[in-house]
Amino acid sequence: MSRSTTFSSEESPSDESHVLNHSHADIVLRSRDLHEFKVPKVYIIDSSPVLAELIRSHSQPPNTAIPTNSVTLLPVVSLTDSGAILISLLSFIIPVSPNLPSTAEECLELLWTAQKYEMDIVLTRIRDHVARENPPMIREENAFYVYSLAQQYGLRREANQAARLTLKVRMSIGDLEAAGKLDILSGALLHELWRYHQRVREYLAGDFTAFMTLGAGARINFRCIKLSSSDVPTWLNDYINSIAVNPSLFNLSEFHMALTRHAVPTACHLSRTCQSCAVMSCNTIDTFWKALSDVVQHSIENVSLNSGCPCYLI
Amino acid sequence: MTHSQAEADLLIEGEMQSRQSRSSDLTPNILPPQMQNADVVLVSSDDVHFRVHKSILSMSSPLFQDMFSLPQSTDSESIDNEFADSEFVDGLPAVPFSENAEVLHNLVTLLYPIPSVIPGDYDKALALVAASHKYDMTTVQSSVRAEMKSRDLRPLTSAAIFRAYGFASAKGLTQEMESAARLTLDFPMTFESMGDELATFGGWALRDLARYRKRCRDGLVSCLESLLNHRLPPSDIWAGCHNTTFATIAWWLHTLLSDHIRKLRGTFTHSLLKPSSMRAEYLAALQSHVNQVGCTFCSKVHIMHGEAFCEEVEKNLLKALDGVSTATSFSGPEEI
Repeated sequence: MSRSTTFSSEESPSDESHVLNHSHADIVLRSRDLHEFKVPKVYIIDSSPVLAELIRSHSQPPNTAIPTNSVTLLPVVSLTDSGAILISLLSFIIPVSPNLPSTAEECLELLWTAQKYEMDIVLTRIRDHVARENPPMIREENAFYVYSLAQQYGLRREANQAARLTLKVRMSIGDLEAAGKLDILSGALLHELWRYHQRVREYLAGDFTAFMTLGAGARINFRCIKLSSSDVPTWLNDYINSIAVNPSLFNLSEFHMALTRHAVPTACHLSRTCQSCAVMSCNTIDTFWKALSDVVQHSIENVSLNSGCPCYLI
Repeated sequence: MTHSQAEADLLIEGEMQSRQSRSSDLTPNILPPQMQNADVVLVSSDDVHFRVHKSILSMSSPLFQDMFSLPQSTDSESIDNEFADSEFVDGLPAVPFSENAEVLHNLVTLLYPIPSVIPGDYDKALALVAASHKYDMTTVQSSVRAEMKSRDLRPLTSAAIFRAYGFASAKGLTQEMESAARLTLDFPMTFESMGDELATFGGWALRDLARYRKRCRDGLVSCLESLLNHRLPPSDIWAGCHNTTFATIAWWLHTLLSDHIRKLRGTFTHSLLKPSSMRAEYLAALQSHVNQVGCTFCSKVHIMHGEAFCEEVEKNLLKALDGVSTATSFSGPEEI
């Protein structure tokens, strides 16, 4: 017995009915929660070799009782996915307005479903829509959660995107526990993430060395009272090196705090303040920050999660 | 079955072994016991065959008792997926095990009245406890645990301790998990100190360990705070030091205890205070105090009560750690 289908969807009613009850339907897809979707099988077969095989296997034996819908007498293919995920998936297959789920969990499940059915083009379409989401599906505040889910679903791209965002958080057991992140990640997944952070730090260290010794990007003030052997202000040298140890320090607030500690007089170090760095122009700082951002970006882009890492498929 | 009979039954015959027991490269030294009149073959994960008796297995484990009491199928016998792929070896039913030959060999020696083999290596002994736990062999498990205790077998390095915790947690070995968790307190709980052992932490094992550690930390802080009270024993003996200007215990002891409280409150991931280390720290602080100000009060108190005070402090700190209920800290093995 099929259920009547009511979905909270942003698509127009005509689009929804098109997906649920296509006028040229010749097959019924039934979800695990018994929602039925009457669709033309040509769309499904074109999109997914897995479903194509499933549909073919339902059509082949001539004398086998093929399950049919009692009203339409169309062949029925039962799937293990929920109705909510199927309606969203079908909206990317059939020419209607795409219907992206509203939560990150559902989006990841949708991507996993498309990946499971080997719908390469559909997967790309979904990812394109996800990339246009505002606010983004993967954000700093849900990065650990999305990383965990994406790893469990075997979605490497999303796991990598989320892992990059976790670089904005200090990776220590104490900090992660305080932020409740240990409730999200198993030891195995956290270990993989920690190894990823390690590799990023190694890359950063190498790229920063080149940045400070070879290029001119870090030589922002030759009049600083304390320059390194490479003519980089020592305070900046220290700040950049600290990012290689803890990438979460790569942000303008930390940079300005480092500059302030160096340039602004304090009760203890009235005579040792650097007037020259204190009056550096915004333009100089902007140029430096852009150059540093490029280096950081380059390092991060060169590192990805281990392809051999265990994925925990649900 | 007598000891000598059992030993006589233990046939270690090279030719038989090459035909019946295909030892893998991983376990070249494992010579599996081949019991006479065996009626079942245990097959290790590395494909070594152990010919044993169903009755012996049944007596040692209700799990095997149930298994062998089930009606025999024609081509296999199984009680669940673990044994679903059973087949016959030389006409005897074969039961595949996920344990390797070494673990299985040790297990079998504990089932028969023959010299038992309990590894001297902690990891291997723990694997044996896990196997006996998995197959519900309570007597075997007790024997292995008793032997480990008598030999004072324990993980020694930071990596070995965290590995033992992860393994025990995954296998549901509460006793070993708790003792390993306690040992981890002597080491920092950082990614660096856990290293690759972290990958073995299943489910919420890491979260549970962090919470356990925090509770231990809180227990120590609470104990140290109570030691600052100059009106209550055991610290009341230190009220009256002439070099302490305010109504409290002697300032050098106050400083020692306060420093520990501050450090513990700062983070729980550093190695926690070892109760046994307090005596040496106490003596060093007292000596420094006496040398600096020549305090006769503190010298006298130390001579009269110092030893008892140290014992009481250590006892209280140990009690604070023992008082941490692991039952509420550990949620047990579960899959995420």
